Amino acid sequence: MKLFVNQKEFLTNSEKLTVVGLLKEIQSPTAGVAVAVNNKVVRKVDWESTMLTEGDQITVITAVCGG
Amino acid sequence: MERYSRQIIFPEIGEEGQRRLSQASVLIVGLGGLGSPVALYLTGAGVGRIGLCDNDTVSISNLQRQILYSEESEGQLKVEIASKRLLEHSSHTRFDLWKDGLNCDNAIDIISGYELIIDCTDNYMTRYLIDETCQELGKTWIHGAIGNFEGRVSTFIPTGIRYSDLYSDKEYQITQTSTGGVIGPLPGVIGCLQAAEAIKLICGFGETLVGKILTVDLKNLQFNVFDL
Repeated sequence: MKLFVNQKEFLTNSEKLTVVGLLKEIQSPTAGVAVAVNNKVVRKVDWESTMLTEGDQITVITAVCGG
Repeated sequence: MERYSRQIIFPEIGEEGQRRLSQASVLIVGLGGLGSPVALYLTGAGVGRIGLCDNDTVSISNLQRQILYSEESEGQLKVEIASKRLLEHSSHTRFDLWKDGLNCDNAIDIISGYELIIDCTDNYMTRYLIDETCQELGKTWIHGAIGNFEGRVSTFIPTGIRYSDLYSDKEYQITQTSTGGVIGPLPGVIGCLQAAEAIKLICGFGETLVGKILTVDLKNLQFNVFDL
């Protein structure tokens, strides 16, 4: 399955992949990040149940705290 | 009104918008890299009352990006230097000085006195406090934050998704601190976006960041908006 992660092409062997599964596969931290799928932020409570499909664009938005 | 003629000329603002700005009350939490341009531009725009909230003093390493201050300000309270500098800029704005910064004991009292809150703070603890207090009091707040070469801007309204929904790991987040580098223009860009957002919300025009988050990456020159 081909996805786009942070605007870069990402190929995975998994045919069924959730947001949580993807974060694990790309070794992304899961705390302090928001995740958008196709420009819409998916709430963390829905990460387990959100299945990714071919061509999805996923953006990992890291929280920042400087001012 | 000649002073504001270049913005009154817009039908989106006009005399009615200028009246709204002059009657508006805005609280700026944090007077560092973000708070500096926010305070300067909202004073310039003619906002009637601005609360300046910060308990910090000016240090030399602030001057690279915190454009309200000068070498002479070193060691002095930011709210005092800021109000002096802003009053030189305009006598149309009234400034309230909150020298203790925002904390659990004073958040309700301080925030309840303003119609719009602007988050220019430098830590997660204060952001979650703003989130909770604004929710409780039914206030709208404009979130801004920077880290490395990146920035975030979003507007949270009482009936919409909350900051704590976006970043739900509060207990983890509040242990994290901002220690990385920053180039001066980054808080300039993000602070100016917050100030523009405030003017649009007060006057009631244009596309805002209610229900959205803007991410800015200055290194790779990427600006993206996501729906919340």
